[in-house]
Amino acid sequence: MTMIFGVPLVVLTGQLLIGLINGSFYALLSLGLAVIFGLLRVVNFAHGAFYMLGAFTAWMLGQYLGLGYWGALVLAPVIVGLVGALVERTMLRRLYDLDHLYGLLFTFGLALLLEGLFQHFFGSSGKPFSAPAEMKGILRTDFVTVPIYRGWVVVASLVVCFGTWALIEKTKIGSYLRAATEDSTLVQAFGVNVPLLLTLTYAFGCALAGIAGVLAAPIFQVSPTMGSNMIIIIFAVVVVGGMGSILGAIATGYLLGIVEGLTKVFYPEAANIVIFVIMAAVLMVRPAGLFGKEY
Amino acid sequence: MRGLEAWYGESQALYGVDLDVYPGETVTLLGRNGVGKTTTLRSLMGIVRKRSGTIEFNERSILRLPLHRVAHAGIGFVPEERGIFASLSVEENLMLPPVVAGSGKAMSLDEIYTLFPNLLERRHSPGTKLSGGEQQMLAIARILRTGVSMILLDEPTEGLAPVIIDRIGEMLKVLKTYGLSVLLVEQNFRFAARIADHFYVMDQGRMIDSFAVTELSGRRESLNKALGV
Ligand SMILES: Nc1ncnc2c1ncn2[C@@H]1O[C@H](COP(=O)(O)OP(=O)(O)O)[C@@H](O)[C@H]1O
Ligand SMILES: [Mg+2]
Repeated sequence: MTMIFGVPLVVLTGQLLIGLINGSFYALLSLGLAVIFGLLRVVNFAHGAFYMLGAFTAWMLGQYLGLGYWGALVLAPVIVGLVGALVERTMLRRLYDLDHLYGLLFTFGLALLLEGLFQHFFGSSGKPFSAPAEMKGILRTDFVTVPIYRGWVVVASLVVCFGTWALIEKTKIGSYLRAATEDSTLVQAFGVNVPLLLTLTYAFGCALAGIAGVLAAPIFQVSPTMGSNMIIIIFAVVVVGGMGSILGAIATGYLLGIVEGLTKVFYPEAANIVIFVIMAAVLMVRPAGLFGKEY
Repeated sequence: MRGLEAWYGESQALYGVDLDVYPGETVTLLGRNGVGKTTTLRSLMGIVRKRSGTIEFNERSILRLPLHRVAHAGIGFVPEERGIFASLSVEENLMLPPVVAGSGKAMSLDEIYTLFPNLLERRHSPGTKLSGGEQQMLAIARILRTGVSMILLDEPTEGLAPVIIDRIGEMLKVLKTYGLSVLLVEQNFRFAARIADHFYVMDQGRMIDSFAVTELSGRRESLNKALGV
């Protein structure tokens, strides 16, 4: 058996892979937070709730409409995005002219509300949600053993993350978003419908959380509290990466997932807190985060 | 524009400003620093929202329009700080403002690059990597692409070298031949004298004088006093 630093290679790659899978969720979620914060200057505390909503929507689509995994993977994020758009249009936009603290408080309240609602109607226990049949197997090689579904999660998250990056950096609508992030008033004075852009951006960020939720459903089960468990780690990731940059959010997400996975191999006792230790260290050395800009 | 008043929070910045720009005319707004020239442009555009009075453009009131509809009425804005976006390439900056369905003639990207070969050369670099003069050209060029019929220019020569100022002057003359109306805010009086048809003078948020270019020579003295030069 191949050993590295006294650890069997298969164990090492296994944990690396688990780290990469967690990193996939961290990246997807912190990316959405960064996109929303960049333009709206709102710290979206409801992000974990939208992640949970994505998972629950997928579960309900299956339960009540008999929709399979693939249908849910497309439809649930769209529904989450629509909910996000509705929230922005009817409530969040009233707060833009006030202190940013109001946006934070509002989204925090919204998260509690959503979590409470789902707890009330569906109870606290996790609901099983199965991976599609064609992804149930396990891929075994000499170096690594991967449940196929988990491999898919990594691939899907990479595609969505870099698709989002390309959308922002390479397209016309992305140039509106980048420009409005710098000076939204001027962009609006040029004739761009910035209020609509804000709605779309918030909806898009929420839909990203929704995608993460559907991808997570077969791995972690579907429960009302899955979002609040996740969001604490995500905020640590965001603090480490800094709010400023899209690529920074993606890279930090994967990086911290992997670091967490490796810690499980070499010093398991610290695995649950390593991200927060890194957060504290980064706060001391570089308060704006690894990739952050000072605001 | 009639009786325009504008506020920043509780403090009033404009007191009953009247101003006319006729089609195809270049009008220059003069005045010392801090008298409200920029505020006049920003209120006209709708960037400053706390306003009262009348603003009509092509016989249509634009005071209540949401900010993003004003450009589509046919008005383009070149801000004092130029507003070039660092995260956009030169070409993305150029393509940013949507083309409006106004009466003006929208220049194509090719025409713009012919007029500004520098921008063509640097089209892939970040907008803010251009020199000050090139940034000013870019700020004006991107408005020409939209086909607005009126353009608001806030101190386009500020901080630029004399040769660049001459080029901008040439450019504004070209705009005139296109039939564009120009509302120009300028401290550089000699520059303005070369291109303007009509002058307005502001002081402390009020319009204190207005005259045609033909009356200019007789006014030098009183103007120098009003402008503090
Ligand atoms: N964003 C702002 N907030 C508050 N007051 C402002 C703001 N911008 C300008 N002012 C004030 O309004 C007055 C007019 O300013 P401005 O229109 O910029 O003058 P000008 O362009 O003629 O130099 C000044 O007294 C200035 O201090
Ligand atoms: Mg000014």
